[in-house]
Amino acid sequence: MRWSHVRQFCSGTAAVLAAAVLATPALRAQASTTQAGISGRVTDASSQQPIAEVRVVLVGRNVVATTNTDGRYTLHGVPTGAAEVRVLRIGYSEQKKPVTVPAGSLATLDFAMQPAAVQLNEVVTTAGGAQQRRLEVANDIGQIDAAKLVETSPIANMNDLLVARTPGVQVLPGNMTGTGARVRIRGTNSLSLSNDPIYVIDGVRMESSTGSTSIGIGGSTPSRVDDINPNDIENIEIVKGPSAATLYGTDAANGVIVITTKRGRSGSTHWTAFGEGGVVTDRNKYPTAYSRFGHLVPSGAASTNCFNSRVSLGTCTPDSLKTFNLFEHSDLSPIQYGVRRQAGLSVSGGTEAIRSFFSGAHENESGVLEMPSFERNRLMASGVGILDEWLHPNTLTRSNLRGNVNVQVTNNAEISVSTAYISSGQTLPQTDNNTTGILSNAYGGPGFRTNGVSTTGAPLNGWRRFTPGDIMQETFAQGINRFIGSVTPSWRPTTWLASRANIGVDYTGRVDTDLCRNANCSDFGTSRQGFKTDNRTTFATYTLDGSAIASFQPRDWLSTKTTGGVQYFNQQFERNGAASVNLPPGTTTVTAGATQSADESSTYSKTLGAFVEQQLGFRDRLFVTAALRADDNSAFGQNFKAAYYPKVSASWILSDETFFPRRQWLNQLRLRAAYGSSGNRPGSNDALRYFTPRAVSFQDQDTPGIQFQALGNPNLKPETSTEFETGLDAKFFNSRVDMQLTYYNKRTKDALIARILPPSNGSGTGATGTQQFFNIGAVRNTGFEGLISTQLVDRKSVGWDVTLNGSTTSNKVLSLGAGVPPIILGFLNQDRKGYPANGYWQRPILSYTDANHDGFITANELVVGDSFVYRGSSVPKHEAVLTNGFDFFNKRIRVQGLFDYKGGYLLDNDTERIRCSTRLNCRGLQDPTASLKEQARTVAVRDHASHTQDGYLEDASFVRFRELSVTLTASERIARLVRATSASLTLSGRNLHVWTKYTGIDPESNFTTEADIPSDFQTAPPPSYFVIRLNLGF
Amino acid sequence: MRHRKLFRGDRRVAAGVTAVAVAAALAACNVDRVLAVHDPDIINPSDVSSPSGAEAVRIGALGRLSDATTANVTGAETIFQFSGLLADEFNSGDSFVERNETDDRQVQASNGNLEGATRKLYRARLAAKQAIPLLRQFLAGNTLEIGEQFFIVSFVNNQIGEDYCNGMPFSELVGGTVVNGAPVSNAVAFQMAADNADSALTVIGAASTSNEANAARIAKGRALINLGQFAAAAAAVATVPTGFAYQNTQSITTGNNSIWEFNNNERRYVVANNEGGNGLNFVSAADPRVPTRTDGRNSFDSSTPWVGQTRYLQTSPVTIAGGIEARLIEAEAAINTGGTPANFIIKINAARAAQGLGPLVDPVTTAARVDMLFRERAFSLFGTGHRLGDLRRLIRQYSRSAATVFPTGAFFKGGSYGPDVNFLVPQAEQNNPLATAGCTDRNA
Repeated sequence: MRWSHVRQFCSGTAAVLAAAVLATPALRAQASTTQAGISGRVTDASSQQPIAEVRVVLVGRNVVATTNTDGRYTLHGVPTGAAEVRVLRIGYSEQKKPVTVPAGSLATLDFAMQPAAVQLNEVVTTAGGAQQRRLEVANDIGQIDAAKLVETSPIANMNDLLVARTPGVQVLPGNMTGTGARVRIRGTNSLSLSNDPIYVIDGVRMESSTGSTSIGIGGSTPSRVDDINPNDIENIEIVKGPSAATLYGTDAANGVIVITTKRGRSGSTHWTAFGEGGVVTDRNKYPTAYSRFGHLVPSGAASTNCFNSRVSLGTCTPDSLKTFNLFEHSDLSPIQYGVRRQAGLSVSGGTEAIRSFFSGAHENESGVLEMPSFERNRLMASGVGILDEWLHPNTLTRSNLRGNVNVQVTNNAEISVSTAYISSGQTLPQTDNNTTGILSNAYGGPGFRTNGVSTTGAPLNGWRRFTPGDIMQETFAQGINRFIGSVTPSWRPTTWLASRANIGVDYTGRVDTDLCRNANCSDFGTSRQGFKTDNRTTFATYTLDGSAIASFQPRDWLSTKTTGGVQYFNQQFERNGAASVNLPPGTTTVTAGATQSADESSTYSKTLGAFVEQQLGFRDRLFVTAALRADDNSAFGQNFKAAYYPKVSASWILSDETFFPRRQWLNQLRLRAAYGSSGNRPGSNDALRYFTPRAVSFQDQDTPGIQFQALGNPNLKPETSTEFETGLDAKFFNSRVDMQLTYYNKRTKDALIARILPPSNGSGTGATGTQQFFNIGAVRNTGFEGLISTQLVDRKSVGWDVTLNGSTTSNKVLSLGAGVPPIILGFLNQDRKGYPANGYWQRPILSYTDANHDGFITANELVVGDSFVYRGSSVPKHEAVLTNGFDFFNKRIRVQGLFDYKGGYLLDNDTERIRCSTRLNCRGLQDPTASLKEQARTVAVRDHASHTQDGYLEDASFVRFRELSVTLTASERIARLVRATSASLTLSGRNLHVWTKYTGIDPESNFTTEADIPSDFQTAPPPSYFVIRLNLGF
Repeated sequence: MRHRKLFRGDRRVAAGVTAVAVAAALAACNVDRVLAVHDPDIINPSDVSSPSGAEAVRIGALGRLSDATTANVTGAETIFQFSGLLADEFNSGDSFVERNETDDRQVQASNGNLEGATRKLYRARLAAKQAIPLLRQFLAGNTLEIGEQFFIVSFVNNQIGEDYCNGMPFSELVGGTVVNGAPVSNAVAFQMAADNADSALTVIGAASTSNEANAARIAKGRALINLGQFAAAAAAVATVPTGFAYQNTQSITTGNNSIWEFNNNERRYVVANNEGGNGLNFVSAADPRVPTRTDGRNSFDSSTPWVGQTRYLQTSPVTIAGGIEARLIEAEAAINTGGTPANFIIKINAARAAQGLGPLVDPVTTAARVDMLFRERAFSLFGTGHRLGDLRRLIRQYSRSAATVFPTGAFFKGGSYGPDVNFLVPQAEQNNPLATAGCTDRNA
């Protein structure tokens, strides 16, 4: 049986727990003590105000409590005798106190916590869902305080929450309303599989696909990650590498993003309300179109394309140069401004027995695209009523409801229920790499306005081929109905044993539609006959896991923690599509079309895994952990049994050692190192050899047939990434400076290489037909990550905090496997041994010179290398983020700014390339005053036999003024004026300015939001957001 | 006593928890089918081992042939258009480099459209080779259908020999394992085509007058012409009626006519006229076999004036082997060693008459006859994947130079025409360890 290994491991995991329970002598000694409790109150040492949400831990046991809004807590089931209690809370320095617990009664233990100058969360979430003290974890876990950020920063979506927050986490945001970001953690691991991290929300594996649409619009696409409303999130933890993500098992090699939503707090009911509104503007400079008029030689025919090279060769006599930029004409430009609005209400409260959190929010946003007035006027003049979805083709409307309830069934049992319902509707225009795209037609027109009419009779007014009115009549819409829910019972039968289960589902219903009414839309192909596509997809991910933690303190100097768990994931994708063409006038349904078609597809994947972890703590300052996870997955080949992922790590709080020299300026020093593995599973059907059905027109009859599709590979197994991570954490100067430094070396072995099948064997179509997966490659990522947070000034009247994070990433393909030639990824990118994955390769422009001194470059004045050479990385190799925050008037006013740097990479300025090569409107082609460099790259791509695009690979390094916010926090007196207990007002802006040498519109313009290789191809640049937000507490 | 009781209680709890943990773990692990999935999208190899499975695979092979030659199913052109682009039938009206460099006769091995067109051809060959044993096993009496599959193999071998350089391999798939093929010369490809056509006729019966038999005869004649065995070629097609047509049919649901799709619908192709000086005047000739139209609009790239053909509409069937070609093969044989020169104009005019055209006058000289023959072939067989092979044969068999046959001089989109007279081995074929060197000979 293929499971035998996993089954044995599962049994072994249970046996480990059983052994821990039954055979540990220390256990019997501890179990024989009587039990009582500890209660107390936690306050702020400075203000003496109670602190809620403090995590109170009985050291060495699985006894944990959380303070209520009055700062009170009770630890139940505490063994009598001497004990230690530790308190942890973000924003405060942790404390540990001894206490003696009398038999049969409650001991009292209060804490006054010192505010920490630097805000860091002191606990992290484990793979089993439990909370663990950060100092005991040997990995650098990225943390994002989402609850705070959304109130004080311009956060419209998950992209905004993730970008430029955590070193080593590279986020390339989507630029249109509702489009997703590409997230890469510690580089590119896989050459053939997804490099997306996985997401876990409240213990449930979350559907997080990017490019989540069944209908292409040319580029920018939605991501299911963005369904989550940032306002519902308490915090985000980013488990970066395999050494940290080992226990998450197969799929976790690219990192894990763990989302914890807000929960109820015991105490008085607390209402919060917020409302925000703002504008979305586009402050980018768009390219100007050039045309040079003249007469061709010898025909004498008039031409608007008297190129520089033609002039130089004497085949055209120039007359005049015309330039035109339709984006600078308000009646012609599709770029106007959008609007963003959001409002939400939440309530939190309850008793220690039942705590609940309920929230609801509604948002809508329209992007910057709008049908220009010249087209509105045209359509209205012809009696066409303009629909709102045509007028504003890029919109998002979303409602989120959340209800989280925690029920304390007994002193040692709790059930947590998390539910979320999301409903959204989104529209996106035809754009990017798309013949009928808005921007491809706006970028591609000539250098003058009077360029005739389109085939529908509409004056083009400088647009290339289709006019925006016709383009925007095609309506792509996506509707989402999504439920994410989990039930998490936890039970602590004894002080040393805690168990937890989690049953959850993430169910998404997605409807994609694309509609062109009869006699509408661009006159391309048969579009104006009308068509309708209606694809309905369901995604379901079921999570079932259970784990138990046994904690002992057999000696004063030794603590042990044994964790075992079993996890099961079932992921399902099912889609039905229907489409029809040739719609009668007035109809909008698939049913109405003269020619109808339907399709169906589905994908299933199941994972069963088990893990066991043993941690030993020595004198509460050295923590050594070893773990092993075993997985089997339905996508593994039939000849492969199970994947094993080991892990070992150590965290040493060196500064707590007695031998460590005491220095006033050094408050804490921790060294850490971790080694571990995780995996990335193949696609669901990659291991299988199979045929597929098809219809064939046979003797004028559509007839069912079968065709061979894929070769498969029965030996397929997951690719395994193994990482060594080491680093140090330190606190200086009365903990006013916090520093983290990490080095990682990650090697992906058995990397799945999608070997391109030679055409001559005749295998099937698409990626599954033309590729065959083998575990033969190897990729290495190494890098440094650093984070320094400091409170430079901390006075009542003024404060100044600075956070600087940075990272480097070095990627190299170590092997493609024996006999595998370089993998060609289109015209520009290749995977070759010894070079970064997805690097840019081109025949280089070696030199150019105006040999005849006529001011022009022609093909014979250009020297191009004979072979393809490596030109640079396609992703940033180094990043840095600088955040400055200033507080004034006892923190009543806070001003915060964030600058984001990315560097060491190239970007294909493909928009300019197509303007030069086929749109014939770029400066390098038409303008005699264009630099020789501009001319050279134009000639190289157009006239030189190599057609090299080398000249369009540009340094894309940039510094972006990413965020600026000003938050005004009202005094209680002012808040009471609106019957609130708290109030704050935030004015914020996003994407305020960019500094770069990149000559395209913006170095973050990117049409392939889901792919590994960015490309700036007729796509939208990032817009700017200016938002005002009011937060009220009651 | 109290300690003892608690100890026992704790042990009970511990034992209970352990039992639950063990039970849960084993329950999960014991469900052998817990990871089993059934994907309805896929068909296992065992599912085609039946008479109905064999029939479905046969139909699938016919679909693959259509994909390779005349149907638009994957958004990329077939070898019929792509070879016409490299020759003088079409110009690129596209913004994509792949088509522009092909029209420019400077095709790179990494050209994705070349790879796509090539894969389609080989898929048709594999599909037919998979269908043959299944048909023999489960439907042995269906000799016409079995023979038709041999025709497909023959057709593909021929097309590859005509359009690609020497050095194209022919790999096999045996029991799910790829057996890589070594590079072979065009001549070997043509001989394989002739052999498979013979196999088709053997299965069907040499005397058969079925469509399948006639298709095989034309495939054989075409292969023999390519091999320079003109008399044998004429003999092979002698019994094929002039009115015979083996056609691929198209439908909107299974794929538009590919020429209509790329020339008329998407406007990425433009009918060429005297391309590069040497090209034929497909437009200005106003020949009813290549009817064209313009509408004053440009093609896909917005700058090349569009010229569309109207011979093929959205779902027009395409004759991939027909009696007209048989007569033209006979005409060619007539002007070559072993032929009867007087038959030349008879066969030419027979082919023309079948297309509703008046007779031509024999130009008498061999050179003029060659010109006439290849012009008649170009217009009669327009867009059906013959022209590139014909241009190569003008060089190889009639001693013309590439500079007098292929488009030359300045390329209308910039630069000059390159030297290509055939397609090179696609870069993807380097994944075949026996064919990493690419072409063995790029001459015509």
